[in-house]
Formats: sequence, structure tokens, C-alpha cells
Amino acid sequence: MFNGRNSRKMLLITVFILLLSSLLLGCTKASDGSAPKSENDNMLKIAWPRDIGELNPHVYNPSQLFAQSMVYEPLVSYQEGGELKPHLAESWDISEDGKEYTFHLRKDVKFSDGTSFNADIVKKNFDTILNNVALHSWLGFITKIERTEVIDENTFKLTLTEPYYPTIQELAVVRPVRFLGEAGFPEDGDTSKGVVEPIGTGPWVLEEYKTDEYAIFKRNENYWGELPKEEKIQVKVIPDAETRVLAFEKGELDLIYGEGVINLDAFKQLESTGDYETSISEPVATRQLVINSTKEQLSDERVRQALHYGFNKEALVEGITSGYEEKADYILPTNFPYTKEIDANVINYDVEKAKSLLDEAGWALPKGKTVREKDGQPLEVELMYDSAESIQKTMAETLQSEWGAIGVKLNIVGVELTEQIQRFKDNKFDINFFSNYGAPYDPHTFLNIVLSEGFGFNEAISAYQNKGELLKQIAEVPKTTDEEKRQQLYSSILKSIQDQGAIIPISYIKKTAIYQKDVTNFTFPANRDEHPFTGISIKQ
Amino acid sequence: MGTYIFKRLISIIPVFLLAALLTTGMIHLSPVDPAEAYLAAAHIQPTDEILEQKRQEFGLDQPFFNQYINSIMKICQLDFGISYVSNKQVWDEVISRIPVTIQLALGSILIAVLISIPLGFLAGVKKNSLIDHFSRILSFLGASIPSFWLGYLFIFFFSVKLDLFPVEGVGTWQHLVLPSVTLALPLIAIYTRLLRASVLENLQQPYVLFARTRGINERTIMAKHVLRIAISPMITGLGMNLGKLLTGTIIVEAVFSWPGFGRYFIEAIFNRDIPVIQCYVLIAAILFIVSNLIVDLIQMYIDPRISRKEGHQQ
Repeated sequence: MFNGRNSRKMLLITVFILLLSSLLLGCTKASDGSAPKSENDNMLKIAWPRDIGELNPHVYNPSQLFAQSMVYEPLVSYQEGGELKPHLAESWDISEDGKEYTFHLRKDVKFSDGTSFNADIVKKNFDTILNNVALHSWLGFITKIERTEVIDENTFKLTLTEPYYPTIQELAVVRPVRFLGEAGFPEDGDTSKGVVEPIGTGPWVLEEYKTDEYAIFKRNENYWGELPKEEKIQVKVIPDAETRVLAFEKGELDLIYGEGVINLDAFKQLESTGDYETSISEPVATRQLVINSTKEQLSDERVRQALHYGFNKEALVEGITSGYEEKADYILPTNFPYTKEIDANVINYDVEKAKSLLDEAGWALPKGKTVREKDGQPLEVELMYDSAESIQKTMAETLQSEWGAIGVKLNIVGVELTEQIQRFKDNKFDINFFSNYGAPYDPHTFLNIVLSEGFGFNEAISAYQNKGELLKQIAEVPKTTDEEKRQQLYSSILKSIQDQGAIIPISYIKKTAIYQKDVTNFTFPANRDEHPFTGISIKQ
Repeated sequence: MGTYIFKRLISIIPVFLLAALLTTGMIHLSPVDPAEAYLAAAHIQPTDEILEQKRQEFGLDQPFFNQYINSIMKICQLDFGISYVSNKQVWDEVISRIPVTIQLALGSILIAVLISIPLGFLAGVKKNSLIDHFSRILSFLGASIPSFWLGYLFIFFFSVKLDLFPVEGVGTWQHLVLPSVTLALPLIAIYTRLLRASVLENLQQPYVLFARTRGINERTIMAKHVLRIAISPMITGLGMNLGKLLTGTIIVEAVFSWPGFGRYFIEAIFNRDIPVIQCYVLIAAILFIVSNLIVDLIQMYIDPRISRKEGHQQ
């Protein structure tokens, strides 16, 4: 059949037409109903590196926190300086023994489908979350809930098995303790497998969504609080950082914000043109070096201190982050609850001091050699960093040369993030880059992971003389009911951890934002995970 | 012909078995435990109990051979497992993303073919002419510019500066232009040179001389004889690249925010979403085999001498 010239020709033509038509078919199919109108007024366009994921208040990755926070709201909101303010709960009472929490709910709140927000739906959400305790056990108070009760239509009561002071603060997190409307629940009630509809009480409602392409949120016209100024927000999914910047320059985007979503060089370059507005947030977390004191060379406090004295932190942070991060003096940022006045020793760059500390510790520099030795052993340690994070990499390289100058041989090893965490947990590291969780999780979550065995921090402080005492104090903090006592404990624990040098604060991590000149009222929320869109508007 | 295709299809089986072996073995080569990767992706605090339970669920406690057989059985039913991250069937996730990727790959092949055939042919026929020099420069650029950089350059000039095309996304044919051209340029570079060399070689063949002495019009000789035969190596090249093109869209998809299969794969790598990675590797392997088969068939249509040697024994 293939011999005839004509039939062959026919076949070729058919194949070609098929190829071409499938191509065109693909085009038309994709353009159906998509192609958002660019002339859409009063719509703020932003870019996000990942798809927003399922809008379900009770699940984690790949759902994006900022999107969940646009639709769902907490009982308590975390504000500037760690202040906890009423949100869906008007007020709350805590019993003397710190076990019973009674919440008085706002009466004027409606879900976006018009149903009312009341104690019943709060209980339903809590009970659903409690059915999946294993999934949510990372959040301390979840595992301590004994009972959830509806007192009356607008009063909800939470009873804990033991006093746990961070309960109120943990209610401010974006997931999982936010509230889904009745119609959103699946038939079997198990939201961990998905929701029927994303119905929340928040200022935004999902209007249109295309996986991996974009999502459009529209204003919830029945919102109980301050109505957003913008009618719509379009979130475009642009995974590549350079492409985000190009789309922004072209004017296809009004705003890019987040942590590490804009390359620092690009940020600086755009800022220098003067055509755009930029903004940098308060510290959201601390970049830390965690030193494993179970390693022989690092078990001596003087060696750890010498490492801290031995590098110019200010120049390092300024040089590598172009000033978008700030030199950190303390292991937790000072704008968190209970961290304002920690009396820990602030260590400043002092090479001579570093050298004398090492001499004192018995690590001498043999003639003609560049690496210090003790009993024939060289002072050689390894620093692990996330190979995908250029800031960590450059910092590691700088430390290598700075510590080289005081006679410490630093080997640096870049690993993938998952491996970094794994090795950190398995205690297979000398020095590691890490950071705390940030607002609204700290300071108690940070101390909690120091307490938990099988996580790098716990091992890191092994050489501390007072480790046992420290861990006891850490376990005591959440149970305190007296504000003053709690502050005292925090002050003494954080000071002790920092002063013995197993955790070196490097820099305070901040969020960056860049937006077009006609965007006004952009402010970063105090909660690291919350969206910043409520007050924002575009000048007409 | 039928037996030939049948034979070729049969030969897919051992390659498939080998690919499945590699993907099953992959889990054991990685330093990260799949059970831990799952819990990390699902944001669950790993306790020994849950880890053990997950390992059982994934069948990791069984001997390697059993795991291998199990995974083959499942793959045959198109069951690639459930994504650690999204908790949905991997196959459904992949299938929903493949059409846009194919669209991109076809678009770039089309551009590559439409440009490199005339260009390569003319460059060969008119050696050292202006068009030959032009094709040389274009090939040089196409072969040496990395595609992510080319993508940025295109966006910068044609989108940001000239405002001819959108920066990112899908939807209209305008969205397709920049990414397809970015993908096509390296192909154009290769095919133009391949075709030019092949045309030059064929011009030296005795059949061209005979045709000329028979007084056949020069144009007919070139179009009906030289090009038909000279195009053969280019088609082989195209086939070898077809599989590569579908997998090679990864970078271009990331740069142009193209919501396809390649971008999904990158995210899976970062999240250690092992079922997705396994599915991708298998699909890539099968794509390579199938595209090679298709190319062989096309070649038989164009140059019957090949099929006479292999296919038409009966």
C-alpha cells in the first residue's frame, strides 16, 4: 500500500494537517473563557511563584498561606509587636487555672454564602481538626484540647488538659484553626481530603481559578470588617523570578511581594530607576548558625565564642543581602512577644579576641601552618547550607575565608533542603544554617523545638552545663499563668542559650515588596503568613 | 510492514522493564526516605509509628524484587500512585498537564521545520552565498545560546520593549509564539546544518549528473530528487529530538510560566514527590521509544529504499 506515490503524498498531507489542527485545537481550547481582560479596572494584579492550591483552611502544602488567609479568618489576630487582638472573637476569658478558654464571638459575622458565623460552626471546625490530630500536632495547643463546647449561640468554650499559655497566640495562625462555612464541608465531614466549596468569612471570595495559571479573588461585599478598597485581586502564577520582574516592568503586574520572591539584584536595580515604590518589612525571623556542641572541637564554649567574634557580621550581612536583611544581635527578633528585653551578651567583631580565645582553649597555630591544632588534631569543621539558597551559599563562602584567617579550617557543603533538614534531625552536622519560625509562632515554638528530642537544636546545646535545667525551664514556660514569671523564664532561657554560643544570630530576615507608583497603602502584616491586601488600593 | 511495526512495538517491552527497574531503584539510591519525604510534604510530624505505617503502605518493607513486580503491575493499570503533595492520582495530574506541553512541542517543531528546510536546502544549493552565511550565523547563535537566556531576551525585547507578545501565561496564539521560537531555535541550528551538509553530499552523487544529462529542469532535480533524499538525516534528527523536546520544555515552561508537564516535574523534584518523578521518568522513556518508531515509519514513506531493505520481505 505504500508504493503508490499518490497515497504516500496523501498520507504525508494527512499527517501534516493532523499536526496542524491539533495545534490549533489546543490553542482554541485554552483560550476558552480565559484571557483575563487587561482593561479590568479596580483589579490589583500580583504574581506568586506557585499555584494557590486548594482553598481549604485545614490543610497544608501545596495550599498557599496568603490565599488561605484571604478567605478564612481566625478568632484572634496577631498584630504589631506581638499584640493579640480580637478578631472573630470579640473577647475571651481565661480561667484561673489556665485550662478553660471562653470565647465571646462577634455577632455580625456572616459567611460569604450568607449563613451566620456562630458557636456551632466554630465547634464543628474544631472537631474536624481534632479528628486529624496527627496532622496538626505540630501546633501545641491542638494536642492539649480536652473538650470543645457550645455555651450559647455566640459563646464557645475550649477546655485543655493542662494549662498552655500560647493557646491564644496559636489561634492566630493561618492554618488549621480557621473557619469553613457549613456548605463547604464534604459529606463525611473530613476536610483533610478536600472541601466542597471555599466558603469563609474573610474579605475575599474566590471568583475564578485556573490551576497553575491564575486565580481571581473578588471582594466579599458582605464583609463584617473594613471593606477592601480594591474590587478584585488577580494572582498570576509565575514560577520564575526573572520573569516576574520582566512582567512587572512591562506593567502586567502591580505588585510583587514576599520572602525571596524578587532577586536582590533585580530589586536594587528596579529601585534605582525611581519608577517604582519599594518597601521592606520588620524582621520576620532570624537567620541563625546552629553549632553542634556534641562535636569534640565545638564542645568548648571558647571555640564557639571565637567563631562568633571571628567574622564581621555587619559587613557580611550588608554585603550579601545589600541591606535587605539586618545584622542580628539576638537569636529571636526583638519585635516578638517576650523578646523585647533579653539581656544576652551582644558579640561584636574582634579578631584578636577570637584568636586569644582559641589559644586559651588549647588550639595553637603551629609554625608554618595555617590551621590550628590541638594534640595533633586540626581545627577543621563543616558548615552545611541549602544549595538552592544563594544567600546561604555566599555567607558560607565568606565565613570560610574569615574563619580561615583565625586558623579555623571550614569545609562548606551544599545540600538540598530536604537533605539539610534530614541531616539536621539526624544530628549529622557540625554547623548548620537555620532560622526560627517567625511571627506568630515564636518565641514558644522555637523553644519547643529546642526541647524536642530528635531535632538538631536539642543536640546542638548538648555541651551546655545547664542543659537539663534549661530543658526543664522550657517545659515549664507554656504552663505558666503568671505574666511576670513567664517573662522571667523567657529572659533567662534565651539569655542562657545565646550566651553559651551554640546558636549564633546572623541576620533578621525581612520581606520585600515592589509596586507601581499608583499603588497606595501597602503595609506588611505583622503575621508572617497573612495577606497584605486589605487597605491597598490603586489610584484611579 | 505490519510485522515490522509489531516487532518494534514488542521491543518496547524490555526497555519499559528496564525503565521501571530504574525508577523503583531510584528510591533506594536517594538519601531521603520516601516515608519521610511524604510526611514532610504533607506537613505531618514524623513519629516512628507513622513512619513505619507509611513504609508499609508504600511497600518499602518488602524485598526489592516484590516491589519491582508490584510497581510494574500497577503501572500497567496506569496507577502511578498518589502524589505526596496534592494527594491526587499522579496519572490524572500528569494527563491534565500534557496537552499544553504537547502544544508547545508541536509549535516549536512546526517552526523548526518551516524555517530549517528552506534555509538548509538553499544554503546547500547556493554554497557560500549570502543565505549560506546567514544560515551559518543563525546556527551558530542557536547552538550556543542557552534557552533560558534566550527566553529572557525574547521577553525583554518583544514583550517589554516592543509590546508585541505577552510576558507569560497561556490562552491565545500570541502566548505560544515566544516559547515556541525559544524552543525551536536550537533545533533550527541543528537541522539547517544537517540538511545543508546532506544536500552538498547528494549534489556530488552520480544521479544528479545523470538527471542533468537527461535534460531535466534543474528545479525539478533539486526539489524531486535531491531534497527528497537529502532530508532523510534531518528526519532522523527530528525523531531523536522529539522525546527530548517534550522533556526539554522544562526550562522554557518555567521561564514563560507555561502550565505544563515540565513545570509540574520541577516542583515534584523540589518537593521530593517520588511518585510523580517516577511517572515522569517512565513517560519520558516511552516517549523516546515511540518517537523513534514514528520517525522510522516516516522515513519509509519518504525514501522507499529503506522499507524495501527491512520491511518488505514478503
